[in-house]
Amino acid sequence: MEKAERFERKRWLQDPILLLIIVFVIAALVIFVLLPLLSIIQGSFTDKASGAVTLETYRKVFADRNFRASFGNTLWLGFVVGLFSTILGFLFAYTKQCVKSPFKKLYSVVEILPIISPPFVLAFSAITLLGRRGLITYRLLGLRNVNIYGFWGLVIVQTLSFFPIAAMTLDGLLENFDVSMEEAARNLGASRFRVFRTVQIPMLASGLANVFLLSFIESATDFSNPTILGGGYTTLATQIYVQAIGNYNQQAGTAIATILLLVTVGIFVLQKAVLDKRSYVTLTGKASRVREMIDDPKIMIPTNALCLFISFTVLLFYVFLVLSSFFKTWGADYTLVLKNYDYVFQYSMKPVKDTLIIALIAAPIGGVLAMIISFLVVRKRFVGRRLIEYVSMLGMAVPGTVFGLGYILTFNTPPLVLTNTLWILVICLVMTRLPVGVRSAMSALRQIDPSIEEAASDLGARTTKVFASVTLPLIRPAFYTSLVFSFVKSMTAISAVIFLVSANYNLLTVRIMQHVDKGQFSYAAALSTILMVIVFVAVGLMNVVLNHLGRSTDTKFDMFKQ
Amino acid sequence: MSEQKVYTTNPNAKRLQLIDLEKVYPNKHGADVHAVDRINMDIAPGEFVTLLGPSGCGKTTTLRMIAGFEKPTGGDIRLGGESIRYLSPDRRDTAMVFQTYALFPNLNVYDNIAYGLKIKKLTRQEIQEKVMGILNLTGLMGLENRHTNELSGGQQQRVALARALVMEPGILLFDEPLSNLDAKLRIQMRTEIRKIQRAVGITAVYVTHDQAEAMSMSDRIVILKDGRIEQMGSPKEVYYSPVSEFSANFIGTANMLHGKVVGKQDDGISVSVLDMEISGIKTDREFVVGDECTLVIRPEACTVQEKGLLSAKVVFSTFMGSYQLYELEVGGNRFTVHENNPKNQHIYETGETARIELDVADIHAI
Repeated sequence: MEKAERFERKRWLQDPILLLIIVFVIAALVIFVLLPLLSIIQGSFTDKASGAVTLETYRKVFADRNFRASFGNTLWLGFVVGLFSTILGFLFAYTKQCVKSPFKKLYSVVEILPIISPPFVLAFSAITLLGRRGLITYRLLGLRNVNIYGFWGLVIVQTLSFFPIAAMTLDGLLENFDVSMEEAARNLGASRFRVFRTVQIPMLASGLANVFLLSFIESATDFSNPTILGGGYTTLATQIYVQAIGNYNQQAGTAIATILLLVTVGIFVLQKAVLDKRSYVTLTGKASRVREMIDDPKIMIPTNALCLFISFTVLLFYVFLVLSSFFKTWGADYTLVLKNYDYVFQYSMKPVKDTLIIALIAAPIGGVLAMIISFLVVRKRFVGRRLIEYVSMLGMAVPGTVFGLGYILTFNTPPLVLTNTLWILVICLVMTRLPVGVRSAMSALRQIDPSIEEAASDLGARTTKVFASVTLPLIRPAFYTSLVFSFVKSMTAISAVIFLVSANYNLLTVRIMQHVDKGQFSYAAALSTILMVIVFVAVGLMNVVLNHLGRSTDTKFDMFKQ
Repeated sequence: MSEQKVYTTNPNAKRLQLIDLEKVYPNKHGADVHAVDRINMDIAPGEFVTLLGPSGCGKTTTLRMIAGFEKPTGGDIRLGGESIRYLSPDRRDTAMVFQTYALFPNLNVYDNIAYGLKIKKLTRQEIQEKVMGILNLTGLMGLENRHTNELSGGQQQRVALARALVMEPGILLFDEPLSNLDAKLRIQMRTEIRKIQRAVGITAVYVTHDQAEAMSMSDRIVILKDGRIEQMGSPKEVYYSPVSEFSANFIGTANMLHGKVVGKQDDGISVSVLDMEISGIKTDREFVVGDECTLVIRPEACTVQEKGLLSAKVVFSTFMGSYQLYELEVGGNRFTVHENNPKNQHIYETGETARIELDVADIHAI
């Protein structure tokens, strides 16, 4: 037995590069994900003066009426937004997958828009359109005492921002259902509604629960919308920033962060459990046949009408964000002028440049790291695999503000001082965007027959060679997508990095929030428009590149005749 | 057990020994599951051995342990006399043909086949020669620039075979390689694989659950059941002298009659069955008088006629082209007969009584 163990160890040494990579990945995840979270938790239990373990911070925080209100607000807002996002998401997904409609392209665009935009654009337009002096509420409807700030404003904006993710998730589920099950039910005499009630909904149940919890987390971790639109309605995510940065009370910040972390991680675990419990989805990729679309006007008209209404609302919000960047005076003089752009081009180009540089560094690092991690997790068996999987996914449940605060606490003091550098922003962006990249790479990898990689290693390829010559080329589309996605998300990120910007490096999103803070909505709108233009161009380029790649793999005949 | 038969003159072909090879997994409840339970096998260089068995019998696990994709929990694997148990797959002198072919979709036919040679760092000249040679052998000439998704199933199969063969491995492994082909092509390919294997003179281990494949291709068949070897032998041996009802049933169809040993002679045993006594029945087992035994009779060894050894009632009779299929009842037992070339025979219909005639030499007792 002892001999066997020695051989097992030797087996590791047969692939030293793999071993090195695993050690590197684990180290990176521990230092840049776990450590910041641990220092927050540790900070919240430590008395600052004496260094002793204490519950005093929590006692103070819980005694604070403001905190208790924020706590309740966060949960209630998360619940309501989760509910509405699930309903709207399901409506969109169902209409797209099951109902006849000439507007499906439009629905797809509306699903994509909020995902690739900065998180606060809808909040701006909500103020422009629905605020006290809003174009719709005040000018059009003549309402006098409208207050968009607060709970309902947040519900509207967050729902419109987060339902697309729900829609896309459910979309994918419905698309992959085997249609023959629905046909079997119809064949056995079930009415269309009965099929909906007894086949589709039960099969979607875990998906719906998942989407609800996902939207709940999005809402609870959202920083920018409550900051802009919250008014007196405070949430935990914003309170962390207010306490730690605004009131210089880092101690209280850490305690609130720990509590919020507990909430989101709890929901994340719940969501995992829901997903693991039972999945009816046939993982064979595409459904076998195309679903016959419902063309009954009693279903077609109301579903399409609702989807169109939501779609136009979202589009209206976007159009007015762009328009309001040209307004002469926000809320008073709606003449279209270029002066706002003159200003930002003169004073805010450094953040634009910094943001571009940082995003261009962070995206490829994050993309490659995500591919490596997903390869290790899906295809390799080793001690620490679970650790890598869970820690890289943890970012999904950690609110950005918690991350940001953790980074300050951890990297402000030796041994690793990174604050005020470009690298703290890069690393933070890489780590917060990691879960999405890892998840999409993992699902791409799972669709590839593992025997293709086994064949390579059977023919003599080491792990690194297998990865470079077979795995990477096969998941290349997923790789490029995640590259652009992480670029986009790095451009639009705000909640974590707002803690980490410095005089040396400011970011575009943070600059926008600074304008908002000073009430300079026009400048903020102008910068947001610039940001969106950059992002849309990047996404457009990606589509061109991907289309080109798609064609070239089919016609690539002469590789050997180089 | 290894025979001294020489199968090949190819010096690359290696001997494969499995020694007490074992794979144990804990199941959900923590109990041990013996996927492969101390298997011993000695495969001569150039021999074609088929692992045959129902799903879950451990045949694929055994193959994957030989290739290195699964780690044994006990025992040893020796290739050419040296243990390869602790080698990673890329360091083993094995090449596998996968069930799903596992062709690299990002490479064309030529580059698929050249993949392993490039890793071996052969010169471009050598690679070119070897690839062209193998393309010729496998009938893929002219397709080298095709993309893998532009090939038919049979062609993909050939590429997978070529990619493994070109490595000139010590042993070639096949994991149900024909299961994704249609019936006609499957029959064509199995002959072809066998021909190529003989021509190259390479050792081969072939996993399948299709007994016809096993019969037609193998030098030796290993029947596996629940992770253990049920029987090992040439196709003729396992067909005509099965050691158990499982073996008899798994290879071909078999009729079973239960009886009692009443006497022993030099040329066999006497068995009392269905109220009569039959003498001269062959067996490999050491029976003593009084033992229970089972008589195995192959359907094609019998004919249905007016006179014969056993009296029977026709339950079902149907024309199958090359033979007439009878389902009969013999003393409470279901009995199948394949009456070959029925064109000029009298056909018995359902409900009729008849007799079954067979040669005692075709009865095997277990």
